Amino acid sequence: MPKFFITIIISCLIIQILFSFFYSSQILTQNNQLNQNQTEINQLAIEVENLQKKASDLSSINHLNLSTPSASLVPIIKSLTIGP
Amino acid sequence: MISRHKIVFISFLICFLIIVCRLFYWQVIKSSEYGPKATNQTYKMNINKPNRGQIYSSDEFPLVINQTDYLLSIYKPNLKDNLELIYQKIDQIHPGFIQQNQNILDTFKNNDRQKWIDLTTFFNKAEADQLIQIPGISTNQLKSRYYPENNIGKNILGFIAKNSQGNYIGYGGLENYYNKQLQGKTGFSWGPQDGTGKTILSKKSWNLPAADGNNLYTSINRAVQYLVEKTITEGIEKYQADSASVSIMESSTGRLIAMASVAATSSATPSASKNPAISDLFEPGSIFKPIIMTMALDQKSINTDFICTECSHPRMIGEYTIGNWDNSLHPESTLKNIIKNSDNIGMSYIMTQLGLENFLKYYKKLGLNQKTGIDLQGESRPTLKTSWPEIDLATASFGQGIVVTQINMLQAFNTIANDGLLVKPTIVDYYTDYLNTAHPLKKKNSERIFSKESVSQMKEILKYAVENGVVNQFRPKNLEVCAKSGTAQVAVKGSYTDSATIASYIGFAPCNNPQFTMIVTINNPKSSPWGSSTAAPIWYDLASKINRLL
Repeated sequence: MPKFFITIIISCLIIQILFSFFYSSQILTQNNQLNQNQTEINQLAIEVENLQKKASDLSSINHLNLSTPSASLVPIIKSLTIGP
Repeated sequence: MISRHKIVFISFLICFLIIVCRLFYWQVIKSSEYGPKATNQTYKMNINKPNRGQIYSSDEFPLVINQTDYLLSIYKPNLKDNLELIYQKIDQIHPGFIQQNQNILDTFKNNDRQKWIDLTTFFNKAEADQLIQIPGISTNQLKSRYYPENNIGKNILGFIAKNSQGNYIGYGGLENYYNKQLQGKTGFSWGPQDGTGKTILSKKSWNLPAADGNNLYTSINRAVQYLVEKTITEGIEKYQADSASVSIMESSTGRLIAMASVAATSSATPSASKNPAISDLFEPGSIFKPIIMTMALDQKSINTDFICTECSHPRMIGEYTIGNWDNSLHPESTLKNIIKNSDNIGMSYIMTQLGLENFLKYYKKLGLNQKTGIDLQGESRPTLKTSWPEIDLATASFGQGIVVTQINMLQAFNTIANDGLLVKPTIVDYYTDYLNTAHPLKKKNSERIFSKESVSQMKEILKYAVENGVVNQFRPKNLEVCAKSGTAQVAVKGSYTDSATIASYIGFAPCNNPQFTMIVTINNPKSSPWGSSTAAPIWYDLASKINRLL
């Protein structure tokens, strides 16, 4: 009787430990994945912001004006006449 | 004799039972008391802040976008180097840091009791990534606004700042007018978190995501806006004026193409929360004459054959004398010559023909006694006097004694450009929500004020006045313009002063199929007080360039 009782208790304990290890490791993996994804989303959002900022900076009139000296611009004076 | 095995077994069993009983007591008997406490410890409510909506120009170029800045904190106990060395390291990453924060940094260094400091210098992401490698330094994210076109359109855009509750809200311009749409909806999430604040997956947790603010797509043409701001800045210097404002709208729709105000000194330049083009009231002066004449033509108080038979001498009304700006007289003036010569005497007789009742009827129909309703914060409401003695009615014929905003004047004059139809000025064409769905904004229906015939007659008069007036020298040869100059005296403490004027020029082009209607006002130009020699050159300079850009 005691042997049987001890076996049952120890088995239950082992099963519980194994189950909790398996279950908690699964939760931990999923939680880690969730946190990693959230961090990545935040970083990507900031990256998108920075890229948009850079792109708009480079195509702004302000930038074009500063980077292109007006002396280097040649006015278009030629015209094309199409007629019969 | 009980064996040792049994003693150990029984001891374990008793301990086990004690633990089970204790757990039963906590988890079942006391569950109502400890349950919520445990939930409070592990379950946290997080606020998900939405991104503020962005503002775009007519070519869908971002005029205002969001950026993430980083603020720096230094915690002395965690530092591994001395403060001076830390300051130098930060200065290497962000040049100018020490110079910007000299006083605060010195105080922090010399005060041993101060362990922590939060600095207000903004760092970008690359800098923040380097800074957090230094022990004792931490960074905090801060969302702010970024303007790719620098200061372009700042009076239109407005700005954001913290209110008394510590929340960021829009001030001035579009940022304030569309604050609700731009700020979006805050989201919330509730769920278990571990000791480091990281989310733990749970069936009980719930999440209401934040809805980002709407993006506004305006009718502002950034190339024209840039050109306008550059031109009037140069104009102020050239004509030694105090300030200047320009507004340009699409004649057929009322969509605003550009709007800018610039002052002579940077200290006097209007802040982004104030837009003089919609907030400053002024007496329009002679640019009001075509409106009065169109009223009289439309009401048939006069016809195109009108001759001013009394224009050979100044007009006397009671103790007041009405004369012309250059003290000249133009006997037997036609309507074309009255506008060309900007004849105050002729206009006063046209007003007499029109009569007070008709004048007020058209004045109100043109919306000159109320806000235009433009979608910008800070528009002023013009006032309209209640008593109209004969002299006041006469001076109103040449735009003195009445006050309007620049946008009021533009809206009213545009009615002539738009074949007698009044359209409300607008800036935002449509917005996109957080799902990127476009929602066009409802436009108010145009309202007929003048008949096509009377407007057509007025256009001929304006065209004649431009082509035969002094301003014709500024007009590009290929551009047909209908416009009028004005020089208004400024009232100071109830009487007009000779020391200050408001020079203005208003018109549209081309005359028969106008693309744009534009007004230029210059406050107190000292090189010449006249609108025809200050505001008009700016108007034509802009018109010749805008014509190619639209």
